[in-house]
Amino acid sequence: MGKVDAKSQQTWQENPERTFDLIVRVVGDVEKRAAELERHGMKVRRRLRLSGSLGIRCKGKKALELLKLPWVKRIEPDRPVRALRR
Amino acid sequence: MGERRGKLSGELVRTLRQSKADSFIPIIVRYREPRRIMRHREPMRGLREGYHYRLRPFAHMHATPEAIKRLEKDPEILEIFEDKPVYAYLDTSVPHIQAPRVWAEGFTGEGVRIAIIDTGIDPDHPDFQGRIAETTDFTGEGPVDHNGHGTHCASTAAGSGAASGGLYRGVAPGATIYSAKVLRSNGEGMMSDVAAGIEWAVDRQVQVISLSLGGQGPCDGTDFLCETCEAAIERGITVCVAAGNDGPSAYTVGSPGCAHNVITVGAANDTDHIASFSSRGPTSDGRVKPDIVLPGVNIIAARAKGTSLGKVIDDYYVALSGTSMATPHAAGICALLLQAEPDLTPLEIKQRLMGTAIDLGEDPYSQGQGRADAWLARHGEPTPAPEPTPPAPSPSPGQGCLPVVVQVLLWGFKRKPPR
Repeated sequence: MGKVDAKSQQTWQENPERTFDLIVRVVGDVEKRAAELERHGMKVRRRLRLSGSLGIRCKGKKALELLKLPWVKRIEPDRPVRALRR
Repeated sequence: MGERRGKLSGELVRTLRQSKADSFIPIIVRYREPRRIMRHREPMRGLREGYHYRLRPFAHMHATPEAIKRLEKDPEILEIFEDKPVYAYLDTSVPHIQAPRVWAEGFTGEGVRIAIIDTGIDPDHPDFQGRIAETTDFTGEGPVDHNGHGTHCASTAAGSGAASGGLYRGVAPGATIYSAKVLRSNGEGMMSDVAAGIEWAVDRQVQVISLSLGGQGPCDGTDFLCETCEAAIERGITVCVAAGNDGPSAYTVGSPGCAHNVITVGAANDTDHIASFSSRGPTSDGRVKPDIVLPGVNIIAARAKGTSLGKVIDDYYVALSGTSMATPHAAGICALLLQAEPDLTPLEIKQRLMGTAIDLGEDPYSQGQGRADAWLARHGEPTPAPEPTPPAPSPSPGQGCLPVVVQVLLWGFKRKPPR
């Protein structure tokens, strides 16, 4: 499995200035990785220890840069969920 | 009630008078006997066919007034009725799954910690008095439920029924409730917020998590919310998840309902018919989901103060439908089992619910193993493990009908009908 699905990557390439909510799965300490992302000017919304992930908000061009970091395992969209009342 | 007109029932005649030309009215059509059940060969404009019943020559449909006129002229059709809502009060659905028989043995879920991760909770509702251990909020709106969904779900799992003199009691009325608000007042949120709620619940060492929420299907169980659920399960927490409301099409179970080891719950009514809206499997990687079904049609349970979601019954209760309503029934059963047998692992609990579920005769992608039952889950008789059946080849997504599947039987418990 690659770091990102082709559709998401294409969306970021086509919309480098648009802001996306993303989940970044990382290797290593979540807090440390969060601090690194914040230093790069990204907004870290959630630090998720159970899955070793960070919920972030960043522009498409920044998401593409994240793919180059060796400690980034996978990036996926932070998708909407809803109450399942009919 | 209105006056009958030809093949049309009086109530339907009255409804037709008040309906717009483009409105779809739920109807039941009775055909002449004997009749081979088959759908209309050519789709009729203004008609959506639903369930065809097997015991009698009835069919459920939604039809516009114009389509009803055309159906009336069909010589094979004898009568057309309006399909009316029926209500499965908690005082119906809870006995239906035999929870009171487990209470009678002294197990009401007392001391078991259930997390409801949803739209929050009404902390002042009498049905939760003294049993909410902690609440939190990941939406920025505060932990109080301004939507009504979370309160309803919490009371189905663990409400005492105090505001109804005990009538609308939940499945595990002794359980302790933890409420994490991850969905905003409009009932929507983000996966990352749900995952934060799950982490919060794990930190509080809850034993059961109830997730009446999800995203669009299909999925394969590898996204991060599914993995978060799996991580909670690895830490000994049983996770119940709603299958979704995008049925009856196949491949409609969304995340995290597609996670491998969660208990994925579809909805049936209180006469054990699968709800047409209940999402169907398989998952996008070809696995059977849901795992079980439970009552989720017109469930009357606690109403959060100041909310008007669904059909309001009175100040304290409201009727809602959805796999959201079925899921806390499962969470409640888990709590009953855990009080009785605290050492059960999440996978053992899942096997209990699935292995003792009552086969409703529907395909596994609709019913899973069948309708779960609290008493049978507690007292199901062990049987030798059957040889595992090889899984069916993965069908390609986008097919218009449910594929034929091989049902995978679980070891451990013999199904028997409720006494």
